[in-house]
Amino acid sequence: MSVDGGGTPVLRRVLQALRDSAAALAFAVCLVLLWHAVVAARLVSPVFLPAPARVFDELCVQIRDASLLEPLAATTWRMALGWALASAVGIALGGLVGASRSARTYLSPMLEFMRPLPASAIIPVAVLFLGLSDRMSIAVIAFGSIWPVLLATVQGFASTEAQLIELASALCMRPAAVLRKIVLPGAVPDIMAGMRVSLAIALILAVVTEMQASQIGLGQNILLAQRSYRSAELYAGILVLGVLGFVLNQGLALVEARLLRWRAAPG
Amino acid sequence: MSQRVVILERLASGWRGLVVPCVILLVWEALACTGQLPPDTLPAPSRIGAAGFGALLDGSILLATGQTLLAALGGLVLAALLGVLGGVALALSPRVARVVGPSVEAMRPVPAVALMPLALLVFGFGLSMEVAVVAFACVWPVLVMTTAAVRGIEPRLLDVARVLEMGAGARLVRIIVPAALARIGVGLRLSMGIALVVAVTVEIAIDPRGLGFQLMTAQQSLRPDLMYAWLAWIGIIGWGLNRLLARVGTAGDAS
Amino acid sequence: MTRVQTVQTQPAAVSVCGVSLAYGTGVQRRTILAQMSFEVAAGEFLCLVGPSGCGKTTLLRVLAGLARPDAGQVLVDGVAISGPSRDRAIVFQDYSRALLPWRTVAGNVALGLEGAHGGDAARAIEARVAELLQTMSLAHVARHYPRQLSGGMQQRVQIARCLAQAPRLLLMDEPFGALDALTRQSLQDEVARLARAEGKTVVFITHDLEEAIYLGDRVIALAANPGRIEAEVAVEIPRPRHQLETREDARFLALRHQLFGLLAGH
Repeated sequence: MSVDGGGTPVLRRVLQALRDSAAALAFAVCLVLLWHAVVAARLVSPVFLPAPARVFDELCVQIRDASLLEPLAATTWRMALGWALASAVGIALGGLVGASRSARTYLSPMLEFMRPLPASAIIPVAVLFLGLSDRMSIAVIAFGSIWPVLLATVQGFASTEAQLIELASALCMRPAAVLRKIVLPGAVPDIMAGMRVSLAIALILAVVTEMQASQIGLGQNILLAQRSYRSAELYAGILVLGVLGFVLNQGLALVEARLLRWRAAPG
Repeated sequence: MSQRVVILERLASGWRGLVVPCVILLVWEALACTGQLPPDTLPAPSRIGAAGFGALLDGSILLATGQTLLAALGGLVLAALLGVLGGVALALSPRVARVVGPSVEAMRPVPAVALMPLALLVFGFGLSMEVAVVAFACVWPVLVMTTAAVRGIEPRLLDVARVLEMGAGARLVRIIVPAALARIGVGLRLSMGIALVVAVTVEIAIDPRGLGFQLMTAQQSLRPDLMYAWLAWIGIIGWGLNRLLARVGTAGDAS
Repeated sequence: MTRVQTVQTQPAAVSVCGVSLAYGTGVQRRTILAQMSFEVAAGEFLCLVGPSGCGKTTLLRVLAGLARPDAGQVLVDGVAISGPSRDRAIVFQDYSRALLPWRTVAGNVALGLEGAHGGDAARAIEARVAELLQTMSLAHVARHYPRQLSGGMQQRVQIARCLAQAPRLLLMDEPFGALDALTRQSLQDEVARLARAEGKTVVFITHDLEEAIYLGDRVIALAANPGRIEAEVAVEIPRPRHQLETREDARFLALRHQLFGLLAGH
């Protein structure tokens, strides 16, 4: 960031940003107040919509007695493991397919067929093979979230700038060096985009498989809360899942910004 | 002449794409027939085909497909309405975007499946809860693309509207939506792909109807052949929908 | 920068012998280069000028070893080439696609050195890169990414990378075609100076007649469809040349008239 504009415009921009944040916060507070008013006026049954204060209390209790910790850790762990597996296998496989034209011709149609298949549809197959186990969850998460990163890697490898390949041969680079110095870095933007989509799918599948297999986790928590009509717990669980999704996405965005800083706007 | 060459080439490459799946199926069939594979986890492809044919004959495929597609479509329509209106509002008024935007953004990372229990609580089992969850999942691409599209409209077009003293409604219908339509279409296409996935997921996890439920039931009633048949059918529906969207997309881009 | 001269290498002599090349098959087969033969003396600055479609770029790719001729051969110091070599560096026309966008300026220059030194030579590479960045006036943007630079600066990076591989033959494919006039003139002078100081044989392609005369010791004019040699003139204007005086020199103007007539006649 430059400060060439002197003090006044910067100050004005800071003030503007402060005012915007305040307005956005005020709006969010208004929403919560409206929510409270709706509950207080008994417009909606508290079974469906608990008061915001009750949800907040529930959350505080869960944090204080650490009962949030175990399901949060379990969900995050399964998701992270499945996603990491999917990314590693997806990049390796995608690289193999993307680097060879004939592999693309023979395999791409099959891969394209697999992509739109709803990932959750393989849950019953995984249950058949692995039972209602942790391994089943991780297999489903990995299998379901592999497609975006795999296809993005194929795309990234296949669209290597032709002139850079020519440059590599003019420099007499070995194939391994071409892969490491030219093809792989060039595919990173595509791979990162694929991994982001995969991450969202991994979280969804982690929640769904927990519900299916009755495993300890945030997904099972909210399902149990719903079954016993503990609505405050249900809302608190949804909130935690939202925060988890947000934190994971922001974390990956940070990594991406660091890896792709060469793509940032010219300075 | 060159067009014919292109078609021939595509036929040739399409044929190559079928080699690997066909080989897999043949090997699978051969292994299953010779008893090398456990029939309760990997039944022969021929038995899967027969089970699928049976489901087609007794009408359960048609019924389940209709239920799932209806839920997906309903959610999509709802998402399109909300997404386009919300996106236009966010794009046209920077103030609205600054004030409301963060609250909307805060809801976005909530995985749609986390709302399944809530939707179940509010609507009970059935079409409406499925539509609600699908709509929540599908609204984001439409909203994001609409906002980007409307923000990207040539400012002079809006000046024209002002010069012609159009009202807000006329401006929306005659200038904004047509000018942003192509990119809104991109968002809709993305959402359509999501809609089917979410609908099937809701059915697998909670809602006892549609393709996902049939798939689950087949597994639980120890009919692996039927389960694989449903899985293949869901794959075909997803693939077909994807192809249809791609075709619509290219037609839209060409016009 | 006298230190640069420590890595000076013997310039290469090139002979192109009856090189022919055609693309496509059947009716669509098109001859790009027809029986082309010429010589480049060691240390000479040769400019090839011609209209689009005369096979300039293809010829340069053949010289680099990136394309294989259908007939004929290219000899470097009497030895037929069989493929690319680090002895022959090529500056691509489209600089925006010839730099690694994910590497800094220093990283892109280092690319020309990597692999040449076996094992752990990081420090040697670093020192040589710093030297080259000084030479090409790029030191102040060493940590910038290509995208952050102007076209002229990007082309400087590409030239620096080519110098890094210490070639004996420098091949340049319309390197300044996309640059504005002022940038182009300063880079012309710089390339002329470097070629002399570092003792390189240069084959320089351009469609700009004046650029060819200004830079070259000799200019070969090519004709299109199929690509062939139309004329060859020696430029006997002493060096160092100057953007203003040289271009007003009577010999310069005479050559310009002569070549313009030849090229415009087709």
